[in-house]
Amino acid sequence: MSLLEVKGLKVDLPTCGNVLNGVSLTIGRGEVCGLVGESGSGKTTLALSILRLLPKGAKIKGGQILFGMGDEKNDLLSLSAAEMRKMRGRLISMVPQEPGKALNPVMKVGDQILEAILAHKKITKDVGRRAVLDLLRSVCIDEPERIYNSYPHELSGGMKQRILIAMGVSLSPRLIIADEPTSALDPTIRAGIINLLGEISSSTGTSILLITHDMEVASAIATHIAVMYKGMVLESGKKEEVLQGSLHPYTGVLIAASTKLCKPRMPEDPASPSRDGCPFYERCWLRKEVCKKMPEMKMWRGGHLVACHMVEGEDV
Amino acid sequence: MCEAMLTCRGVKKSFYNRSWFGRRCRVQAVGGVDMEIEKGHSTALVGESGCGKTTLAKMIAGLIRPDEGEIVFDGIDIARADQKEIKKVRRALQMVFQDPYSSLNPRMSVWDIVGEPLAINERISRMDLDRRIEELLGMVGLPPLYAIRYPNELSGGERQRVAIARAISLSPRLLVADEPLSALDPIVQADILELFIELKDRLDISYLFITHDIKAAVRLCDNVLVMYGGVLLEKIPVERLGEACHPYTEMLLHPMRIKEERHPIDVPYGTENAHLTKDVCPFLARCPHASRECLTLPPPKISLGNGHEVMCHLAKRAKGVL
Amino acid sequence: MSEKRSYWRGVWLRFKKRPAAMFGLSIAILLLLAAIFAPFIAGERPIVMIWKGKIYAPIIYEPRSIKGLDYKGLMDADARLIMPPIPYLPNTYNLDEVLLPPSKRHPLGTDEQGRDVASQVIWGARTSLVVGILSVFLYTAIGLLLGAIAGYFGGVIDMVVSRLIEVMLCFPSFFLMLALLAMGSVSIDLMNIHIKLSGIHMIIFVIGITGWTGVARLVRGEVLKLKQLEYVAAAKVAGASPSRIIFRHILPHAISPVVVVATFGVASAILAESGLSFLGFGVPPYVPSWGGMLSRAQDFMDTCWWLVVVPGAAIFVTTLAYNLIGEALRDAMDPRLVV
Repeated sequence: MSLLEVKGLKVDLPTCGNVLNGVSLTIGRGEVCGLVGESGSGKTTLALSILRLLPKGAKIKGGQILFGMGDEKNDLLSLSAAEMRKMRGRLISMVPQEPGKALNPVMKVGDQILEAILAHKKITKDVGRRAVLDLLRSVCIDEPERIYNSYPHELSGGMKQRILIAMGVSLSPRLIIADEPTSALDPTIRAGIINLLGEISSSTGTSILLITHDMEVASAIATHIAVMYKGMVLESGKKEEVLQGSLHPYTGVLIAASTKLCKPRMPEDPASPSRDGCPFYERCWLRKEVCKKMPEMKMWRGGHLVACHMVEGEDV
Repeated sequence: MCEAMLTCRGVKKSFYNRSWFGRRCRVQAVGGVDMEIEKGHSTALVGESGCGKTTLAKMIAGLIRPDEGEIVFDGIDIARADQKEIKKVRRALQMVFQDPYSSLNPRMSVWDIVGEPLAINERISRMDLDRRIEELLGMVGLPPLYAIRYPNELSGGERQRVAIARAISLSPRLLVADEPLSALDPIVQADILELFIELKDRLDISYLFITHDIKAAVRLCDNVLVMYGGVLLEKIPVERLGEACHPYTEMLLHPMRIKEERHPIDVPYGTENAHLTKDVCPFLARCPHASRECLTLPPPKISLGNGHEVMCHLAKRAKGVL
Repeated sequence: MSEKRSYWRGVWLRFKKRPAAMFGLSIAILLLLAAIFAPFIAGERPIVMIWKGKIYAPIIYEPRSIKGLDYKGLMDADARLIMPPIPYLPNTYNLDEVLLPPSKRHPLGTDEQGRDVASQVIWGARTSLVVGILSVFLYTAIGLLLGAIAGYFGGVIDMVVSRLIEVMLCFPSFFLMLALLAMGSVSIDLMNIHIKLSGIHMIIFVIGITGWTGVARLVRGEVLKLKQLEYVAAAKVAGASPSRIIFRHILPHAISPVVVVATFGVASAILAESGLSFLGFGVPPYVPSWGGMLSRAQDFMDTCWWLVVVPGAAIFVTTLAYNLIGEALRDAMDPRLVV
């Protein structure tokens, strides 16, 4: 039973042209999907498309984003602006990348979380304040009163990210989109934040779309992994299957680079890739003539999907 | 016994924040660092943001002067040298910076950028300069036609290659690389690291490789220095990393295995900065093995042989037990 | 060159989009053309003349054979002339044609000495532009130099320059200019060079000497910001000298806001010159000037509207044009919009 289903999403951005070239992704209830890709793969654009926060001039060329369980399923792309506003924060929330930039520097952080809650719920300020303190405790902040009254510049990066997670969780959404939540943090702080997200998912049943370029961070809490490259999902499936039995050549390279900082010799990223056919064509050592045609997502076994001509599989 | 190329003794640097009413607040960035880089060896300086590694790198590169201590390179004390001596040192000691997006002047072409150190330091004809630039671009894996491009036309990895080409143009013996991989994607990181390894063998350069990711250090360097709060907590050769005993080093080696646990002793608020005023271990507030001793006494420097040194009460106790 | 071109090209594309900016730019270009080609538009020498079988261009060159000819009288059969559209020089007085309203002969009328107003306005443009542009040039150069030195070296030098700026700011600039101009002329003896500045050069000098503070403060701020960038540190590590760093690495990036300030500065300088000339402290009376025209028009304001409206409109439109350009440039150069 899937909570979020992205089907063949195609998006163009004004300055970059085609950014998403038929993205398909499924997230079930309570699952943590680690969406792994490098910069330029389109992962942030995907997140913004789901939240319908694309910049002016962006064109959605095709596809669907189905969200909701059972009867409540909606195509997010067909909702009006007002309906989408009700979704954001309440049903789908986001934890952004740079905690420093996402917080208002002249407001106490506790008040900022309170503001987010009051925008959606009609409760008194006192009730809200107590709810915020509870939230702060739930994200493992030891002195909630002191932190409530602090300003962003008084807090460390890890602490600020916890505040943003608290904000994201405040209205008990069904899906949290975490866009590179640990990239701006030091390595020894990352585990705390990532494990916190994992805790939240397992204890409340919230699904998480965890966007990152670091396979290690994703594998820490993900139940499923999807690998994205140049606007397409190349491989997706359960974490263990993708990590231990990766099928797409790109996945293997990404895993090696993330865990051991080494990679096989392969051509550099070409400046102008060919738009028809496999996006990985120029750099792939397995390529054949047939790869000049766009590969389809095929099922390898039990939910492990891969888009590669070199892999035998059943059509989905 | 290898000769030391670069030696730092007792290097300290503080910055002063002046508040409105003239009260000066001292922030100690580097609090007494002793280290050596031997000829032909590369050293990794590992630490996270705020530990002082960039300040130390800038002092070694001659961009900032330390408050105390000496930094001796090739017999010249960089901390006290005058402009002429520094110019001599500059030819043998170069630097690669962290952010490939701001370390290249956006209004200068790749040709200008890579050729600048040569143009400043040597009397070189235009033809020779052309040839040398082409050679340098080739060494970093860029085709010669990249010379006419501008930084905004290049990817992060390509920009970093240009920065490296600039840094090796004067054939330095020591290259200080300040987190050269941090701003890059994982696959590009692996590529650039390969480039560093290749250049090390080809040009016989030593590195002071600053990073927060020990994985890079392992593949490139011979020694690892772990820095936190302005001091070096552990010095260990790469082949002995399995024997690393400082709690912080263990955290750096396995960052994703860190568990959130209650602190072993009651640490009052503000302890993270206690080491700025008292002589105590800077890691005290985060250490899962902290003890009462750590709150009051400065951690001792323990030598564990074979170039392995650590500054920790825990190590002292462990050694005492052995 | 591609990055430089692409940056300025981006600026131009954004600039082009605003109609106000293009209007301002057209006015400024028209003004520039009027100033450069003033003799072709308002003068008493024919542009081209065919006389006694030969072709002359008296406006450019007068050979001895035709020097001193009365061109206006030569409207007989064997001479064909093309006179400038306004066939009067600004200082040619004609006491028979005093205070005439606009007519076919004098499209913008005449003043109290019979001088053609249209001609004065055209030649006045030359004065205004020369003063405006050269004085801004002068104070931009001073401001760039002082601001860059203060910002880059900091310490004592910064202190001295900043205090100097503050002292200059204590003087109301207009009165300072008046005081300097009251001296009449200035002689500078530098080593073996003797320079005497008077008249229009004096005005340029005076505006230049008082206007550099804004540019200096701006440049100082930009330099303080820019010197922290990593490529500056990289240049230092490569061994670059401070002058190389300032001129090669820092100033090219500080130029954008300076261009905006300079554009507004031209408008202010033109206003200043007009104001000073109106008060009688500006250019000498024989130099055509819009401010001077306004000054002389005071006695005839009630009856001769053209004597006030024409120079007034000229000053107004010119100042407006440069302000529009400056504003549009500032928006077009906004770094947030540059990719």
